[in-house]
Amino acid sequence: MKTYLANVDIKQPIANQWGTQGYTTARLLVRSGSRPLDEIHVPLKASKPALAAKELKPWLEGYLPIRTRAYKAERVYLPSISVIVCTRDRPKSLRGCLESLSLVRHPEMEVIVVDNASETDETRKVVAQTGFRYVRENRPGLDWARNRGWCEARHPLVAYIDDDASADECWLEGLCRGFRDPEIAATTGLVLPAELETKAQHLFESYGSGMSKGMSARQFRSDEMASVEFIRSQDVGVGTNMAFRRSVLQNLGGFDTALDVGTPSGGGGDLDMLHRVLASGGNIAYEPSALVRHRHRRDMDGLVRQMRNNGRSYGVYLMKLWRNGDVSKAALLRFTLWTWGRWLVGRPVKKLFGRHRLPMNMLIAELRGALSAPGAYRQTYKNDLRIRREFDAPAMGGGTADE
Amino acid sequence: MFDVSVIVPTHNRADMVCRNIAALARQTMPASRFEVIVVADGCEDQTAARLQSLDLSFRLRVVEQTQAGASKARNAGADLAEGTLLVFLDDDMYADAGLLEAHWQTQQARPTLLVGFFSTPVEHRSEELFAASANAWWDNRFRRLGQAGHRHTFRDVCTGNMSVSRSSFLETGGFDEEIGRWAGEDYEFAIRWLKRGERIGYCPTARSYHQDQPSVDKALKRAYDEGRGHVLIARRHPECFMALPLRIALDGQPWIRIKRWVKLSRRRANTIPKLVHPAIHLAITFRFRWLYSRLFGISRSARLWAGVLDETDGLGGLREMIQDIPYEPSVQDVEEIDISQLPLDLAKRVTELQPGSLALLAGTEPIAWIQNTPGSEPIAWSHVVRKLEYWLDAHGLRELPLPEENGRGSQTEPDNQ
Repeated sequence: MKTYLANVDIKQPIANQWGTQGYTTARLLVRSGSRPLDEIHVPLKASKPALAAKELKPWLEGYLPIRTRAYKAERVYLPSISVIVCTRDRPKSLRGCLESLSLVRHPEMEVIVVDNASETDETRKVVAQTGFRYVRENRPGLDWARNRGWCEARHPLVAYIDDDASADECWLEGLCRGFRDPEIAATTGLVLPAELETKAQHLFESYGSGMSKGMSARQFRSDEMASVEFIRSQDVGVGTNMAFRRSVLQNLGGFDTALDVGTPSGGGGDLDMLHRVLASGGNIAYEPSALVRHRHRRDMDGLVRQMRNNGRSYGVYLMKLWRNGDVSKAALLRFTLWTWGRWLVGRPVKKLFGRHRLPMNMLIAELRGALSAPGAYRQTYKNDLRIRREFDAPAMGGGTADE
Repeated sequence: MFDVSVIVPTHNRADMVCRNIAALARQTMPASRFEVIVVADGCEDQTAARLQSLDLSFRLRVVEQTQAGASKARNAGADLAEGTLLVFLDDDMYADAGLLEAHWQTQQARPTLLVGFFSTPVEHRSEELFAASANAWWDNRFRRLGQAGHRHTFRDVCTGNMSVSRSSFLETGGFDEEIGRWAGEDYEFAIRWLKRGERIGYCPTARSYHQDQPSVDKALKRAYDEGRGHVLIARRHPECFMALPLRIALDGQPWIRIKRWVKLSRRRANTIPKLVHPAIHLAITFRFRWLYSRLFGISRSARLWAGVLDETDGLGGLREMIQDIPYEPSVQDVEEIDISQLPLDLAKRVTELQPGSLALLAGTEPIAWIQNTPGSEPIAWSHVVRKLEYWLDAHGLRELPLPEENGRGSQTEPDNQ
């Protein structure tokens, strides 16, 4: 089963969507200029070469009145921004990402590619072809690379994007829209799939709602939220598409280098950072007009591994919250057992009764990952200490070390 | 000096190659216009000596090399050749009398990478199940090639009987020697050929007879070689991955089709053919066609994946490879042509435009979408005609004269014999 993905701008005349042969459904993002309105699912006939404009029109009828309510009345706010791409040994994906970045429209931007201890030289060659800045960070761990990124950044705003994602033309414009309010410390954006060609990618999208957090812009103000809501930082955004004020990162001491991909924890650095922003009194904006398309893993084994990492990284993140004491321990315990525990255990049980659409090995993988979290927590902080000693690094990166 | 150089690589098949080289004396092309170069690739049966002892009217040169694969042999032969046109022939091909003349004439009209026709003559075909299905496969292949408007891809090329101009061959870089140890060097050469914007042609009158007897063991070995060779092709040209048989791996779950839940692993890929081997031969002996085809299919795909896994060094390497394969290039600038509005210069416009992708509409209704997929020929008017036969009939456009660019008629139209 394959799904055709495209963006439809209702301010332009509706065009025929070519290249739909072999696709069973189309998932189109309806936009008014750069403002996303909705995603529609249009069934396709696999033998037809295109989705004709006149077939598409009835689906868009409901959105046409909205097209005039785009962003034209606002004054334009485009501050200078640094884009950080952290990568390790994925030159081909990186090339796609950098190509999309070269098409992003923004008056004053710089792109820094942080190579996190790649084993081959390919990454440097790819970056050399594009003319972006190349920085090498030898300490293994995604958060080391992220910290190096914001330290090297020259502009007051720092945006992060994954190396297997590609940015839309109006990506930075959307992120800057979030920062127009001076009280906002960080902005997260919309992440949609870049392709839905394999079964594994479809399953990832149907896990939760994929990586997207919805189509309406929201602000998460820490003084209006209960502290228990700070735990659920995955509702605020995802690390594939986020931006911070450089000063905020500096005040908080940067990302926790013990967490995230490349360490035994397997993830969670972005969750931890977004949580700390909220916990320290900052506000986060979610701006869906900052669109990034992420290419999910194509193979099922990769997806199962991802699920395991999800479980493990979330468990490590919760344990860190427990130790830090930002959130009341009672609320945290309640959340862990009643909300997260039910999510982890309830789904496989439902599956046994045939009431869940994801395959059992995915659900069990997440549970197993979660159960390995305590061990991973100890291991990741030990590993972090070892790396610091090895590289003689000063204490940077926040988070309490577990001795 | 010579018009045509025939290059034949051989490895330990002295009898067959001597017979086939002697048969070249019967060519309609005068012996002074062509030469033959036989490259003995690590032969231990006195192939060179026996060839030299033949009394031939044309010039024969025999070159010996230490065993390095057929690609190296062909490249070596091409380097030594003095003819303007190279004709590659396998050592088990018995050339028809008009072979070289047909290649020469067709190339004069329009130089392309020309694939000739070969088959096992009907009276020599074995009735054995495997041989019969192999012959049927080849027949089908050539029938498809011969259809008007067939859009050639790199998979249509076979080094058993093909011709190419020497200068273009050397410019393209010759055959890849690493892939030549396994299988698929002809595909890879064709990919590079098409990347240069050249075309592929098919000439059914350039006939030769394939004297090789197909057998199950040879086919399984070939499947293994193809597994390895295709991985190398995919590494060198990742955009052509979708046209290779390996593409089923892209769905992320390569499995050998015994039962749905048998996952691929190196051990299974190696042991399944061994287990199934006796059963295949039993099925062939007793002519249980259904059982034979199922078992052979399983074995063949197991050997293919064994080759793939050996080349990618395990499942991890395969996963990394498929994660980076680019899918169909995204639909960027689409050239839309409304065929109901431009009836007169439509053909000219298609050939002139050379678009990346051609979108054809009838009024507002989309009819066809032809893309310049990597590994396929550039779009030509004959391909468009084939796609739109019904629509063009309805609009009365079938009698459009084909533009001059296509040469005499179309290269893909079979010559009437």
